Amino acid sequence: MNEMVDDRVLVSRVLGGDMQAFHALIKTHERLVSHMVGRLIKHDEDREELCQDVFMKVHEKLGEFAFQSKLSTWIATIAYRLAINHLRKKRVEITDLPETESAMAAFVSDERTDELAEQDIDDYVLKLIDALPVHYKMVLTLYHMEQKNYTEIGEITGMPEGTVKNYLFRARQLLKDKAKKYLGNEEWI
Amino acid sequence: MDMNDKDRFEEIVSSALEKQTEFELSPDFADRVVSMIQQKAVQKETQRDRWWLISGIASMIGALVYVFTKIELKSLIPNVEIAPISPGVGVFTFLSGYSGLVIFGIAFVIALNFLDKRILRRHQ
Repeated sequence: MNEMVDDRVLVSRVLGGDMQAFHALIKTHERLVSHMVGRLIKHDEDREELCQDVFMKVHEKLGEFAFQSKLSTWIATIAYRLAINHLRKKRVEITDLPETESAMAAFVSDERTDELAEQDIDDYVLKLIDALPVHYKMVLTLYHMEQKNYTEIGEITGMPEGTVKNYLFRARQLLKDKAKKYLGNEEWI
Repeated sequence: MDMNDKDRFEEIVSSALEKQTEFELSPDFADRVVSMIQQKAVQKETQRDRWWLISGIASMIGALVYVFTKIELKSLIPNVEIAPISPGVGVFTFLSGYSGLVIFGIAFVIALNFLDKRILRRHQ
């Protein structure tokens, strides 16, 4: 509740033309935006430019923000849409996870297991996450890193809550299966 | 998956996600965005000024055409008998002896406008 009140004060100051307030708004939310953009976009130059675009859009559209959600959720929605549009422009395939058992098994039995054998678990799990389709990566990032709940993730991505749960479940299941293979035992999960 | 397993799994995924920190925004990121927005606002204002200037000139031309038609200046319309007219500029005839003063006046107004745009507005 306090966060909403702070958001209202900050937003009204920005709408009144206070650029210091907007500076504070950027400082508060730049980590969220950079994590989201950083997870989806691979080139550093594109990442920085896209983060700029996100905050320019936030400034432009702030008058339309009606406090129906947290300010951070609304900003994350803009970041998500711009990132997806950027990927579409770059013709990056935004696919779903394969539905068939054999295709799922192919994802799990990736050949890179041996070459990664000496790396630590974090690096390996991160590589697995990066290999996931865009929407799955985003759902995982928002849930685990930004501690967003299903409803908020649904608002950000425009997916129904059930789809968010399903994506999260499938992504975690795949990661778990693949990580089991990598580790050669199941003690850690 | 029991609770401990679930916690452990979430810890591992969170830890991995947290690890990707090679992309960090530069420390002056917020300053740069604010300055870009301010620049954009100035550009928008300039465009608005330009639009007003163009519409002003267009209105002036429109008014001029209207006046010419009202005083029956037909020379612009082909196959129409030209009525002899003499626009009244008698009020300015006294300036004919002060051409230097007229040139100075025009140059002075142009210089003032130049200074206003290049120096005063930029400082504001």
